[in-house]
Amino acid sequence: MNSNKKLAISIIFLLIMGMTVLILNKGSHQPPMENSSVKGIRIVSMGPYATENLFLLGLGDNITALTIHDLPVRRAGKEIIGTLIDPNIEKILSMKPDIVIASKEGNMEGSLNKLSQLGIRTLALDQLHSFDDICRNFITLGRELNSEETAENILIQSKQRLDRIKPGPGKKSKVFFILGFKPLITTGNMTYIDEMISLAGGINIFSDTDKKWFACSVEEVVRRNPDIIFFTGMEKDTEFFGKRLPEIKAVRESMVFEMDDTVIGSPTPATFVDSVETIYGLISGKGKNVFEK
Amino acid sequence: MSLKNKYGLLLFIFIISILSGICLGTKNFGIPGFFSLSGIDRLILFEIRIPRVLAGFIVGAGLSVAGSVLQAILRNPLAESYTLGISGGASLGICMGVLLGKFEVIPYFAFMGSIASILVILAVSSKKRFSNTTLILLGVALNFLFSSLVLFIMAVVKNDKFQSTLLWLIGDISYFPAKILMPSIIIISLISAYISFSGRIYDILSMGDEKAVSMGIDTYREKRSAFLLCCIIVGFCVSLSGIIGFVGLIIPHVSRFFFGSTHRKNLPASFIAGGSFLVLADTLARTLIKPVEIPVGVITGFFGGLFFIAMLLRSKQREI
Repeated sequence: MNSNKKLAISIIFLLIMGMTVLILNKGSHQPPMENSSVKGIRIVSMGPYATENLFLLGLGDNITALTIHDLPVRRAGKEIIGTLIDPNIEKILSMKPDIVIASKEGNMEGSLNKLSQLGIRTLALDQLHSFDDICRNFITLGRELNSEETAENILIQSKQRLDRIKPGPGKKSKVFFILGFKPLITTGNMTYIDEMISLAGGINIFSDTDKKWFACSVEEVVRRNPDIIFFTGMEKDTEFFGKRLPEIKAVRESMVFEMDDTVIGSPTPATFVDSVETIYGLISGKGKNVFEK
Repeated sequence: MSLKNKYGLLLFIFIISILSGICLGTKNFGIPGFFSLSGIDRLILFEIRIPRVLAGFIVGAGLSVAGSVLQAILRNPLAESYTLGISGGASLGICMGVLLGKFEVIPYFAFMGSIASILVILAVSSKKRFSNTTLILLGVALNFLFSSLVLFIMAVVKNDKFQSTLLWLIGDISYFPAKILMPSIIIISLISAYISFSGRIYDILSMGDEKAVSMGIDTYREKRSAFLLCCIIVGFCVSLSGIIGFVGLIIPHVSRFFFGSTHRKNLPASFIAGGSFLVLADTLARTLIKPVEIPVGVITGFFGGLFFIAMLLRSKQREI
């Protein structure tokens, strides 16, 4: 057998061995929660989305550790487990949590798998595309933490508030939402932001785009000429409007507004409705714009 | 310093790196503490820290041995595992794995990507019998090609998968599937041992193709075997830790500086030094601003950059 064949056979053997090892990888096992009383539950939150929903459920005091991305007021008196995408597993273990609340929206599958493999009870909330998803996650969270009734009551109140927002008939205002400036990131029709705008009586200028978040061109924004712009995100560049978009209607008429990062990025059923109310107010001309002194 | 003392120093560094990797972290363990471990401490040590130290060691060792061999056969001090397009292929494999949405297949796809890139190089070079310089340029070109494909995929991929890709591409030893650790340790160790025993071949190849042919070496066959063996090592390394740069570049130089150019001596030294270096780098990455963890690729990149500047300054002095 010549050396080429030997080498080829060796490589094929190694690949088969590797595949076998991966296939034999056992699934993770979720241990039952030891502490079933709501009062004593020790919770580790793996991101602001989980944290805000836990606080809405009234379980903020049960959070023993969270990430550096959480609001400073939430972090006060609590331990830090690291970042959203690379949490410190040792730190999480040392907190002896009864449950870890994560989100498939921001946390890596690898860290969730690792926690499950180590026998830590983990709840990963689903990704968000709509208000229904936000509500479903909230109920799941409540059920997992023996607070389902509280969760349902909060949902009923939120939906009642939402039903009271009734945009008038007639032409809808064109709304442009900015998540980031460099590059210019906006939302398509696969996020709850698009639904927020629609419920508030507006129409997302990129509602014809079947994406969640994507980078758009300034040219396209000018072409679609939004009536209102609202923005959020870590890097705000309010000079951008005067420099790059001076000719569009929203900038000419000073209809550019800033929204809260956490409210937009880490929605709860209550803050979703808050946002719809705010956008409804902006569209009807009652909000504060960035050009006001 | 005698050779015996140098090996002694290397062994000392090895022991310090392993001990620091195991003892330091979110919670520091003293040696007496090992005799009174709580349940959580045992979980941290045996399920997280020790596997991580083992993974860090074998990745550093493997990348260093592969880098050493490639520098010898390509006769280029800047050659390393990723110069020949292997990192580009591995990155593309990682992206494909992330696209499929299953964490478990990412290491396998990273491995396949590494192998695919080297097979492309071997297939192209078998037609043309490229020189060493052309091989390196071909590798750089492949890196650019694969990297642009990676950027294209990241531009159009769903944003929730973007972050998973990022950690793999900058190197991290936190999230390898536990089941691939033992096979990786065995395979990388066996291939490294085989390469070390074949050290004389690389001594001859490093003198140039003409010299090697005159001494009866089939240079094409030996280089091809070496490429494939290095690629298998790098494939396993990438599947454990993603892309970690500079280890395979710096460590061969350091081991040649201390242990000489004879590969039977400097390859085992590269193995131990590379493993120890990456364990120390990972320990620093874990503890510098704990509990926030810095990706280990940031630490190796930082020290790699400093090393290169020092190397350039040293060579500049020689030119004068």
